[in-house]
Amino acid sequence: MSESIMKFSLVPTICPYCGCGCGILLEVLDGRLIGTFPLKSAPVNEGKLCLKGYGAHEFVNSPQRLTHPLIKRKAGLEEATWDEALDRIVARLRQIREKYGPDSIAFFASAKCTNEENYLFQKFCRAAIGTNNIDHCARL
Amino acid sequence: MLGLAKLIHSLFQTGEINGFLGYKEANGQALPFFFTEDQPQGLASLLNSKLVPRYPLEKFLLEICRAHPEAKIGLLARDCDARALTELVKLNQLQPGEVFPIAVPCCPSDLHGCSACSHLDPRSRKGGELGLPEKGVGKFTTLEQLEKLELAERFRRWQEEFAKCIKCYGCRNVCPVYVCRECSLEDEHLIPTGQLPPDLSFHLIRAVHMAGFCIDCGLCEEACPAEIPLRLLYRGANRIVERLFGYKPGAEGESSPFRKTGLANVK
Repeated sequence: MSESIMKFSLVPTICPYCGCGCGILLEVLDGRLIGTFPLKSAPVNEGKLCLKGYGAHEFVNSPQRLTHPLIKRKAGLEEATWDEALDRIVARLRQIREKYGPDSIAFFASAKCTNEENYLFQKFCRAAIGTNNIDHCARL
Repeated sequence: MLGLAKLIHSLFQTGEINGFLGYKEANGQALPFFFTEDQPQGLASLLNSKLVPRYPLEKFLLEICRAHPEAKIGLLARDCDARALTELVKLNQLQPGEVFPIAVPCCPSDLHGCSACSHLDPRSRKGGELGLPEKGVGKFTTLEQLEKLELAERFRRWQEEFAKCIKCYGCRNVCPVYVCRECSLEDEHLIPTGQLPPDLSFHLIRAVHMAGFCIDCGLCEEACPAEIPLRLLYRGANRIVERLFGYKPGAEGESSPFRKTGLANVK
């Protein structure tokens, strides 16, 4: 047997790409995500997937994935801390809202977020900022 | 505990296998699962494969074997799984003694003698009774019915089927004998990109590549969101190989008339 401990699991979950909510199985080998399979017991997709669904694992370990907030400065996009990025967002949102009104701001939510996160997002959009300008990436 | 679970447990104890790919019940659904010797208590939830949906266990097996070449792995092998394993050995992806298949016969395929068994798909018993649909080829048509048609009509009917394709690559992605490092289906010189349905070449290339390799498990057809009768298509491709070379993919002991180069296992 190999020296490292052999671990393989298939984790049932929901495809993050759109609002359909297809069931998928994530293939995890030795702690690393390596593949996606359609989940046959999922009533939504019954063992079928679209092209995006089959690639649902790919962004996780992608070298192109953003792992830090980026702030646009004169030299271009630069890595920043979360504190700095959030302070910047708050200050600018406030500024724009005061100057042009709440409807000058729009919010774009993501299907990759959980239901609860998206609920909070729209709450923030409507109650804190005061606009109904909200949409999401999974409008089908 | 199922007799099967007891058997696997004893194989763990004698060291004949270190892991076992099968199915278990979790949260009310049947899922493919990798049982390991360090957690034998998990075997209590092992399911007999006859009543659960099929997944290409061989694909998971290949991934594990590539990362752990010394591991000895057992696998719950329905007839289609067994044929896939045989074909994967011929394709140089697995060593003959590397896998310990535990046979569970339950297959409606032409490639196996027990074609009367239609446990997994009772509809297949009625194959042909419904005849050809008005458009396309249909899921219940037999090769014999199809071959009676004029070539032009057959071609037209297949084109009607292919027009439904959304190019999800599911047929290839779930295929147990798809082991290629590079895939012609992703070659933009062979198949023009940016159009749906994809060019006819998409289906023709895949059909030609399945000839002499397809083990007729039917997983491609189950995965197809457009319900294209792919199993029938590849059966047709296989039949040509059978007529020319007398070869049926998945048959033990017979060597394939096809050689694929550059496929040696990474071990």
